[in-house]
Amino acid sequence: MGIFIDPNLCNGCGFPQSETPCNMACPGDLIYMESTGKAQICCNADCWDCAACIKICPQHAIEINLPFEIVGKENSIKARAYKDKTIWTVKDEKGNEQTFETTARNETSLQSMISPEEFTDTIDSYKGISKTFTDLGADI
Amino acid sequence: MNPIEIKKLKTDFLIIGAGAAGCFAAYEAKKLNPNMDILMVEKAHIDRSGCLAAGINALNAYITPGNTLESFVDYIKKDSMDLIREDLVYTIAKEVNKVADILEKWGLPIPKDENGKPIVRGRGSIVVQGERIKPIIAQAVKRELKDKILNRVVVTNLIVSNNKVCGAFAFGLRDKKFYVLEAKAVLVATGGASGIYKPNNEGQARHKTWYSPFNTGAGYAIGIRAGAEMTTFEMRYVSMRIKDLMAPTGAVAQGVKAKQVNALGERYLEERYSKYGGHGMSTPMRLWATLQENIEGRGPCYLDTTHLNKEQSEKLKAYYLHMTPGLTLYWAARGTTPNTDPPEIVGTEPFIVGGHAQAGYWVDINRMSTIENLYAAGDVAGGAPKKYVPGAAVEGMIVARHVVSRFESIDEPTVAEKDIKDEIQRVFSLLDMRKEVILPDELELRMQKIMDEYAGGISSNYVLNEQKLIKARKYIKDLKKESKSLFGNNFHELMKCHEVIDRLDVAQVLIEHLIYRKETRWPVYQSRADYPERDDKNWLKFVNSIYDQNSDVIKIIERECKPLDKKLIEV
Repeated sequence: MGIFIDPNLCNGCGFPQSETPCNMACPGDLIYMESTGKAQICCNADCWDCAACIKICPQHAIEINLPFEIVGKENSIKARAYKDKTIWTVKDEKGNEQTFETTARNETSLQSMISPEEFTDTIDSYKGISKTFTDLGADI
Repeated sequence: MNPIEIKKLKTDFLIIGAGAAGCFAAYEAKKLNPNMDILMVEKAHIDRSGCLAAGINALNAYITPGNTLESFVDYIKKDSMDLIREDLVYTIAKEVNKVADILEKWGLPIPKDENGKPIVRGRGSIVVQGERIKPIIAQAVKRELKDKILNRVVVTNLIVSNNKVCGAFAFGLRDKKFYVLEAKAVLVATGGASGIYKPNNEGQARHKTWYSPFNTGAGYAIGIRAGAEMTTFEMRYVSMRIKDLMAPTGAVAQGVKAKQVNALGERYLEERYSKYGGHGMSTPMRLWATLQENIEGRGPCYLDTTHLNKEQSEKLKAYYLHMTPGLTLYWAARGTTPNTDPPEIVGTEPFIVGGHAQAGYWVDINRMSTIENLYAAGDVAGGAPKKYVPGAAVEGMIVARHVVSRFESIDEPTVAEKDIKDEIQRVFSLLDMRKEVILPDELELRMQKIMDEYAGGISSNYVLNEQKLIKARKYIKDLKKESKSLFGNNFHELMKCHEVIDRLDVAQVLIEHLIYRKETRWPVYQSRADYPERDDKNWLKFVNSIYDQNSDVIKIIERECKPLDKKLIEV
């Protein structure tokens, strides 16, 4: 296993009007949109566990699961990125949860940040989802 | 094959790869000349591409207090068995701290000690909270380049005419277009090559690798096919890593001063290998000693973290979230913590990567390759090991300065229509369903098996000998012929096809380098069973190569290893 995208939580992020954050974030080009409008991973064996998608998902719909051959059955890690920090939730086989917080960005640099509305590029536009980002206070 | 839409773009400076080297090149060039046109192409998305997608928890090239430019160079020279390009390493040393300052200004958190100085983790390494280093770098570059970044565009070849670069060919993963990117100067700044050898893990875990599995050697391959001179591919990089997740060890070894112990609890580096330098021995030798312990029945080996208290253990877990979050989950899933479950250490499969070892383009002091106006920086630039992220960034800035100083005098690039037609055929014909097809995963497995068994992979304890290498040479050559049957069902698969083709070209060059160096210079990285000794009299020199695509012949060139001449650099 690599990641699991919960189809009940995924809302498609405005696809196909805009490229979705998870699809855009994946360094391996592994996430695509199903005809149902839900995000899906094409090949979990190709996933690197980098967590780029789980941090950016506004719906908190994605988690990492380690493969059975490495560590056994149920386990997961979720994360959410905020402007200056990331909050992580790690769950073990018995369902015990542990939360971590990591610093992600200097507070002093936040003033110079581009506003989320400017957070676009030409090939795949963020437009359409940028509002979601502002609302949730989530950062890249 | 459906007709493919061709998109032609023209620029002054084309940057291939939006990693540390490429981004710092763009930033520096825009700073020096805002009017120069820059175009950046990236296979993934600039925000989370390449090695830095998950983040990093240290900057590993830094002049720490008590060290000097000279001691930085000397350390890397000693750790690389005296064979490095001192001129390149010295110019990197001059600016690594500046890179840290720039990153901090952009927003990278760099924790400080009570005197306001960065926290030194080890020799030449400082702690950073770098989970978001890639988006932070990307944001600074997007501000400068605006719409001049092409994400999800895969470069397939360089355009070269009369030994001058004129641009690159590429295809878009999303828009499905064929790109003809004409440029006066081109910087190759992609990652190195993983996935050439059979990895530590298989099946669903095959991509739990240390080095990014998405760095598939394209930067090397396009240069090889264009006839650029390459250096020191034989210095592979085999890394000592935490078993299963293949997480980096620096955070444990340097960060919490964990010692390497064997199954008997012995600190084996000091107790058994003191004549090789004990704990202070070179990076490849520390790994070699670990492999020896396993061969002699004293494995597994660990990084001893049992001295940590509970709080330190928790901090260590959190620290890994900045780089390898899977490891934090690993401890949780096992119901353990570092103080009760010290990480087991093993060697990775061999990687070809110039940022850690020194395989790459043979470049001059400005990082120009042997092809005019073609530059290389970061993992694909040869001769300067242990440059890591800061060194890659410095190299990008060095390239930018040279390009800015001369792009106006470079002639307009020209591209022949026939070359465009041929490349379209080569790139997209793999989408056509044929009678006999091979899937990219199948070819990858076969390549990895050959390299593992005959070219010193994990299963052969990394050991090389001529007879096996000659078999590897033949089998890889045969496999290259079979790669014509590759089939991609969609554009993602098409990219995977070309990633395997690229790695076969890298493997072919690698094998020739491994055959040519008849000594053992870097234990584990390059251990020749038939030439087990280091031989400075005959081999303290660079092994370089040029590939001729038409004849499919690789010509080997020897280059002198020169001492540092600072006068040449200051000019």
